[in-house]
Amino acid sequence: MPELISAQFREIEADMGTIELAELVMNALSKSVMSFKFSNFKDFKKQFKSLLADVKKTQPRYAIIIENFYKIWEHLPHDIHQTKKIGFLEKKRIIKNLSKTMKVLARKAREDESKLIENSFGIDVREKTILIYDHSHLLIKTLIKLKKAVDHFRIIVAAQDPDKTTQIIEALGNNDVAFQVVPSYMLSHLGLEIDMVFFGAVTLKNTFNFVMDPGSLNVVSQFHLMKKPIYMFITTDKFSLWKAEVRHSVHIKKSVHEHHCCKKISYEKIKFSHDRVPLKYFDYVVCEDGVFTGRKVRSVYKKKYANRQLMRKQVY
Amino acid sequence: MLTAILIFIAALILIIFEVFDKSLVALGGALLMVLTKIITPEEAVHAIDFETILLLMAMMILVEIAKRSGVFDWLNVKLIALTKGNPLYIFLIFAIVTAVFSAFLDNVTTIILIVPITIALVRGMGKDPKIYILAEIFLSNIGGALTLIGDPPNIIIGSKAKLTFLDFIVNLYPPIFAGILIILIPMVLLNWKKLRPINRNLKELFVTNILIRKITYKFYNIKLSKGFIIKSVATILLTILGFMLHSTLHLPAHIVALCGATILALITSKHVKIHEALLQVEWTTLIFFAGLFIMVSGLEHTGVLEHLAQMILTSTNDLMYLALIILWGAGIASMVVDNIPFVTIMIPVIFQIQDKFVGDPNLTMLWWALSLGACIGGNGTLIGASANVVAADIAKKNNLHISFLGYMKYSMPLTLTVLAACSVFIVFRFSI
Repeated sequence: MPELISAQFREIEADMGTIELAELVMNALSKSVMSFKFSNFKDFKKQFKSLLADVKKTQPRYAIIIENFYKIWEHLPHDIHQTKKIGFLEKKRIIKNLSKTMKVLARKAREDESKLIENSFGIDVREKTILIYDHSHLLIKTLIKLKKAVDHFRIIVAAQDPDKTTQIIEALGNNDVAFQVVPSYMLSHLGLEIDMVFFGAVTLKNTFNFVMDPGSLNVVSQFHLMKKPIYMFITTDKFSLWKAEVRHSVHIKKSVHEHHCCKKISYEKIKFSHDRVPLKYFDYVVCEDGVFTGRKVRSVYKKKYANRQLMRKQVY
Repeated sequence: MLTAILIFIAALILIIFEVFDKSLVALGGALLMVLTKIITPEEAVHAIDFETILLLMAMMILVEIAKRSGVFDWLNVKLIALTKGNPLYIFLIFAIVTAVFSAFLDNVTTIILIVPITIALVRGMGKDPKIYILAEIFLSNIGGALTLIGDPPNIIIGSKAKLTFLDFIVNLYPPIFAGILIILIPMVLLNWKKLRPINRNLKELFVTNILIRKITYKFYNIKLSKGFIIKSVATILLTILGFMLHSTLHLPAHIVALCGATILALITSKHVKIHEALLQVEWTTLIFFAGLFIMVSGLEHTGVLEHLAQMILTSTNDLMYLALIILWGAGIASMVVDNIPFVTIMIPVIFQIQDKFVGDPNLTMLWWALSLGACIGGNGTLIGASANVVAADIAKKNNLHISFLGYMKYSMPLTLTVLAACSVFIVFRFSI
């Protein structure tokens, strides 16, 4: 089951973005609870906990979703009898409670997103050339808003995975934002023209590595060496507030392909789902609470991490 | 006579073993019939039943244009929402929708529309989609037997025997509905563990709901034109209405289909370039039909079919037994050979049988027996019908292997039972 959930999450995140994935997951959870027939509250909690355990095992781990699960757990009514058969009204109360928590979480996510976009207005982008690479929906939304507010800047999209690049092209194009596209392996020719680089991420781990689209590390490293300012746009609810497991690789997808020329050539194609990029390569991190340096992000992260650990101990 | 038989048998073997594309084989066979002077070039052109070919072509254009409007994707999304992720509902709703679609669209098109979404949905839920696909294959062939346009054998039978769209529905609905039940009930009972509701398992419910939302989101992200969808649905419905009324309107079915295709192409010309739609017409299938008509005409010229008719006629003097022989003969033959050549051969044979029983009120039963046998028999093996082969190919592309024997474990007993039910229907019809 964790593999199944993992695969779904990865695919949706690639299509829609992390915040939208989190919203979709909450919606699906709400519908699932509505259809769920449980004999008593203990049974409900047991199955919810088991589901949470699976959600925590996904690769990559989506912090925002895991946090939302925890928050729902925290807000479950505690005055319902554990082993008594659950009545219609009690079930309705659980669902109502759940929906209320989900609405609060969704509103908070949207508010954080708006605050982050507002904070991005503080970045001086006038007459600048901005390079983007990953397909973060939050980043695209920010760029669209920036373009409406400050028209005078140029966007270059570094092409990566065709599907993700198409998503960026469609999102910008549908909002009448002009851009140019360059293959990411040809970026060295544009190095001098680019003034700043913008990124988004799936999460920030406690190792202070961002989990990002594959290929991000190359682009970040290149522009870090060229001393170009690199910005990360991420809301703090995406921070992974747990100890990261030591893993040597991200999700790898291998497939056998065939090439037809004078003879049939069969080969294995390897694709990676994400890159891990150290926080230290980023000059600024734009969050809902402000535009931070790496050092400040570390302190914000540590504070949130400590709070979460405390909360976890209280709940369990 | 021997040359004609040899050409036909060789062509049949090449078709069965898929040595070349069947359209090439049929075209080659037809040319050989002409080159060996079995029939003249003029007779060959005359032998092609253009009504059948135009009807097929028009339906292919109509469906292709409608497909581009996204109406079938929209329907799939609605169906998925309707199932609420319940495996039993998915199984039943998708299978029944396949039967309904197959009655009005080409079986292969139906399979192409339904099977991929079934695999995505069921596999996404962590379940094995095999039984779902099998049910869809079975019901596509059974549903296709219900109408004149549902399956190529019916198109040929309808065109040659001058049977109307409503004739098919009115006469065939009892065995078709019985067949659907005969397929679905044992399949549900045998696979109850896989199909039982998941509402006591929060994890399964969660995964299913995620999947439903994902599919819905993907669909709603496609830019759809409401006008295009409305025009497509309206034209399809009008065409179906036209089929129902074609005898009253004194318009043959192929003209109704051509009207539908042309009207839709005209009113949606802003959305679909006609040459793009025409590219999707299965020209190879149409060439296959043309070649086949010529080959069968060649056989007819040599008197082989007359011999065959005589053989069948001398076996019994009872029309009911003849109908049963045709039903089972068509059923068993369609399990191993393409049902279209078989039906094409049987049509002149049935005409000769009818000549002997002129005046018998149950003469049309022979056509229904042929239609039921040919369409339902196609379920018997994995190569029995094009829809089966296409579904197995789609499954294979999705890393799901449907083996010949694995398929037959379900298909053979179910097909024989449905054919037995059809026999009961024939006996009953003769007794009233």
